[in-house]
Amino acid sequence: MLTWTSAQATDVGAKRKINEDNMLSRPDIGLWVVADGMGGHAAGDVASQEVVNAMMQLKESPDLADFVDAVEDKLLSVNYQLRKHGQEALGGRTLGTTVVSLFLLDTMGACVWAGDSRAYLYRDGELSRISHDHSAVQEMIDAGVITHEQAAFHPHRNVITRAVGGSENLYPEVRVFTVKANDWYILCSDGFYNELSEELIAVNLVQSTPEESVRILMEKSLANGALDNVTLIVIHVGEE
Amino acid sequence: MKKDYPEANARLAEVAKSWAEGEVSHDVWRKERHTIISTVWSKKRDWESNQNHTLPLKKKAMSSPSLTMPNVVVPPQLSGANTSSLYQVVDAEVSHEEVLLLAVLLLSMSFTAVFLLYWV
Repeated sequence: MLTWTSAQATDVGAKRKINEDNMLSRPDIGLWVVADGMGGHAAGDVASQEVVNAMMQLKESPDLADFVDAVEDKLLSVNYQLRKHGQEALGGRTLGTTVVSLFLLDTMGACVWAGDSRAYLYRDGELSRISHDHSAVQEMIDAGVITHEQAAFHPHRNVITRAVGGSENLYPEVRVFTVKANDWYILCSDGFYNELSEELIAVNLVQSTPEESVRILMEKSLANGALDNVTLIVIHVGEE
Repeated sequence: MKKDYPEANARLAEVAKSWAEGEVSHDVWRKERHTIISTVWSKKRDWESNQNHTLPLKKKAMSSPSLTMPNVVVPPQLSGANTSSLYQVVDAEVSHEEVLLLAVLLLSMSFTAVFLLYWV
């Protein structure tokens, strides 16, 4: 039987005044969420907190498809609420947030996301992305216009194409995968992966506990400058 | 990771794209997504065991002593004792007279070429 343990951390970073990131860890039901808000004070932080609050209400489910439906329901509902709040309380201002969520059930998992916060899997010595960024630079990479290296310095590298609250309709994406003993998963905001290359993440991820992984990864990320808020959750899959 | 349920994930991405581009309704996306995930969920044990045993089973089958060779009829032109390969090169037999004639012809062509070059 597979079991999971997790650890998480968030930091305002070296340049920002407020932390607009939020996160949720529910290892009891196999659910983890990272949300990276945008829009400034009383907007971005509110948006990411709303997503976390909504996801916190989710109940344990014995069916993966039903759980994905429930996650999408919550995200669409928050999208509507944020649009309404922006219109009514903020004079038409847009407040939004990215979201990446991971749900593990038995030997399968699902990732639901919108925006450029990421989910990674480390298995058999290899780090791979589960989510695919909804961002302007990712679209350019997919179209073969720019390379991954060029994307890191592109002027539009912060432009995202989907976000909860970002537009009238929200289109979260879904991916399913197997879960195996000794898998390591990471959920993180762009403030984390922009400071640490995937090679460095892979080298430092596997430690004796997820707490130790988070401590080392966060330390390295902050040491590299941390221009944005930094948030990460590390999940380790064990076997009983 | 990319090896996990490739068909299901490709289909999920395809329908999600159709939904985002307005080609299908949210209801269609939701039903299709539910069906795809339910299908992989109900067959996950089969998929996992296939992933774990595909290579060893194939290897075992290849080396099993109980297997017999298929009954293939060999065309007569390939079944001779001297034919070890389809690309076998057979030595040609050429007589001394033919070689001498060829040498004379080449020599005369060379002289003609030299003559044409310097005297014409």
